This record gives sequence, structure tokens and C-alpha cells, in this order.
Amino acid sequence: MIYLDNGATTFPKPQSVINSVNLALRNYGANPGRGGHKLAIKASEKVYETRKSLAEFFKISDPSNVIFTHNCTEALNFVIKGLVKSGDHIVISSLEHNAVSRPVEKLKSRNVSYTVAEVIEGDNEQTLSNFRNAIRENTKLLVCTYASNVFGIKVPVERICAMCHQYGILTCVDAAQASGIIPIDLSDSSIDYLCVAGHKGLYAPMGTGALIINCETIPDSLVEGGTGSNSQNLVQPEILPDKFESGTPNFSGIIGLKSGIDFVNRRGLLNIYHHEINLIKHAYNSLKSMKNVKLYTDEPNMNYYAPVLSFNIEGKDSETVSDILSTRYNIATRAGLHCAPLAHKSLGTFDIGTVRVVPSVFTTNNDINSLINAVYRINTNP
Amino acid sequence: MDNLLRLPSVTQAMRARDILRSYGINSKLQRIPAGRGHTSCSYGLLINNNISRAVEILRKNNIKVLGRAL
Repeated sequence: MIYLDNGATTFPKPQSVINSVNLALRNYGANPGRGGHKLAIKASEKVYETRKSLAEFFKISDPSNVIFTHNCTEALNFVIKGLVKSGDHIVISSLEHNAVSRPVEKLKSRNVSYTVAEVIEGDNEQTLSNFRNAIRENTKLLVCTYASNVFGIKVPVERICAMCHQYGILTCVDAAQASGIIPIDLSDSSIDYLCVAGHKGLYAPMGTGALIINCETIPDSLVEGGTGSNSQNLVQPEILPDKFESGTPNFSGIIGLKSGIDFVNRRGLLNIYHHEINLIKHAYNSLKSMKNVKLYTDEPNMNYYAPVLSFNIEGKDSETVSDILSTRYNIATRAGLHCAPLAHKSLGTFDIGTVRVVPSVFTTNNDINSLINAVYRINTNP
Repeated sequence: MDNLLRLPSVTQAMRARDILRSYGINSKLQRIPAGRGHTSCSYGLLINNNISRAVEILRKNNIKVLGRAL
């Protein structure tokens, strides 16, 4: 199968990731951070190596500020629900995934309000102005995606976060679609909390993610339990990362994450980004020339887009097109709303959804040509 | 055992070990036995010499040392 659903999770995983997970489960699969026996220490060392790799990857100095989570959604929940209190206000973007919009919606029942700031494609000044206008006196937190998981539109997050700091507002960025593809340097950044998916652009197994804390304000914990530390005390430890890592971690996934980061580093982040955006450009320009095929953005480029493309064929709903691509042409895409109803409302596709194409480092030009030919046939042979 | 530094977690112990190594001080990570001036579930660094300097270096690097295992 030609797999173009890498926005959901990358597939296949690199052989090095598969090998490392295999090795971990076979050779040192003890519970890390608990016991003192050699295998437990070895497992702890391996987990710490991944923590250091993530810290280096996103350029923070203290690996303790890397919190392992089960996915990006969990990291976002840790920040959003761990920081805001009754009476607080949150600003989010119009391109958010439900990983952000559902938690903030849920918080309405706890007297927390939120405002959606409209992202204007290709007009960063207007976007910034919209965010500024969304700020209120009681705004505590900004939560914003780095790039839309539906349309690939990059949000000028650094500028928005810098502006928020001028108002004393904490900033949280959802980098689910960006991490491992777009360089993110927290050493010179106004991003306070970066939420990362491990299983997408970092090529780790599913069940991996991270919260990277880049400020002094530490959210409350949402989950309490055993951390392997300070066990005599019934109060959850405040020390990082233990405060947020109760219970046995996804050890094999974390080991795979280290290999995934190593893989991305070997390939080169910018090489991967360049490769994938060129594939998307190729698909975009070919689909654009087809009558009845509807695209929703300007031609993607590295300045303003992540390598994500959405399209529709007029007269056919997105689920049907995606199903034909799968059953007849053996091509995996993702149809519908992509868990991002706000983004679809913003670009006018809420009622019909879109067919989404997301390449990976393993996607070839021939794969995209197969997609283009398949769409052409679906379009011309109803 | 007064050359065994107690640290708040395994992550902090490993970070401390790396920092000390960068200053040329070798240490060994180990679990601290219960009954040595504290209850169970903590990790420490066994340091053979320069322990006062090690403590000073860790403090300068914002690593919380809980004490020495006695």
C-alpha cells in the first residue's frame, strides 16, 4: 500500500526504530526508575538517554524538563488543565485540533472561558492582530498549533508567543505536525510549553509523546501515583519529570523514540522538510490543473506550510474518495474532519471534510504520481 | 557511606552524574538502601573523592542534593 496518512502516524517506521524496540523488550525490559538492580538501572539509563536526545533536539539545557507522555494530546491536557483556574481565559487559534479545543471547551464548566483567534493564511500581520484582539485582562494562556494538521498552514507562533509574553501570558504550542519536520529551537524562543508527538515526525512507535517545559511556571499534576521517588511521602513529588510521570512508562516506546530522533538527525531535519514539501508541491500543482479538484491553500512552500495537503473532488464526498483510493488504488489517505472541526469551519469544509495527504521521509515521487493518476481517474470516471 | 549523595530522583541523579563528569568527577549511580538516615526509594551517586567540591558544583548547577546517606 502507498501510505499517505503520515499525519495520523508515520508508517513504516525506520528499521533502526524496530530494532531498538526489539532489543529493549528482549534485553533490558525492566521497569525504569524503580528498582536498583542492574537491569532496572540499565533501563533507567536508556530512558534518560532519550530524555537527553529530546532536550538536545529542541535545544533546552535541562533534560529534567522533558516529560514523557503517551501522546501530544496528553501533553496538551497537562498544560491546559494544569495551569488555568476558575475565572481564567484562554486564547486558541482557529486551526486547532480537538486535542486543544475539547479540553478548553470542557473547562467552560469550570468557569474558564476561551476565544478563538482567526489565522489568516498568508497574512501574518493580520493573524497577529487577531490574536492581540483576542487577549483579555484575565487571559492566562495561549494555546496554538505550530501548523494545521488539515491544511498545513503554519501559524507565526514565535511572534504570537513573544507578543503574549508582553502581556504576561503563558504560551503553549502544539507541535504534533511540526516536530521532526520543522526546526524548533527553544533556546531562543517565547514558547513556554512545547507539546510533541513521538509517533509522527519523530518516527517512534505509537503511544509516545512529550511535554517540554521551557519556563519556570510548572503546571499542577493531573495524575498522581508511583514515581519511584520519595515514596514515603503521600504528596506527589514536585521535582521534574517525576511530577508528571506517575506509573510505569511506555519503556519500549521511549527507546524507539530515541532511535527515531537519531534517524531524523541522520537524515537531517531540513532535508526531510525539503523532501516532503517538494512532494506536496508536486501533488498540489498536478491536482490544481484538474477540473473539479478543489484545493484550499496557496501553493505550499517551506516559509508558510508544513507538508500537508487537503483536497476534494467536486460532487464526491471526501470519505468516498478516500475509500476508492484505498480499495481500488491501494493508497491510504485520511478523509473527514481530521479531529479538527475548527480548522474545517475556518476554511469552509466543515460540512464535507477533505481528503488529506501527508508524506513521510519514505514517500517517493512515484507514490505521489500514483496518487495523482488515481485522483485523475476517479475524477474522470465516476 | 558519607560519600553517597542522595538525590530526589533517578533522572536528577543521572543529570548530576553527567554534570560531575563534565567537571572531571566520576561517580556511580546506585539505589540508596533504606535505614541510612531516610526511608526507601531514592537514588544516589557514589563519589570516591572531591565530595565537597561535587556538592558545590551540583548546587551551582541547580541540582538539589538531599544530603549524604549515612
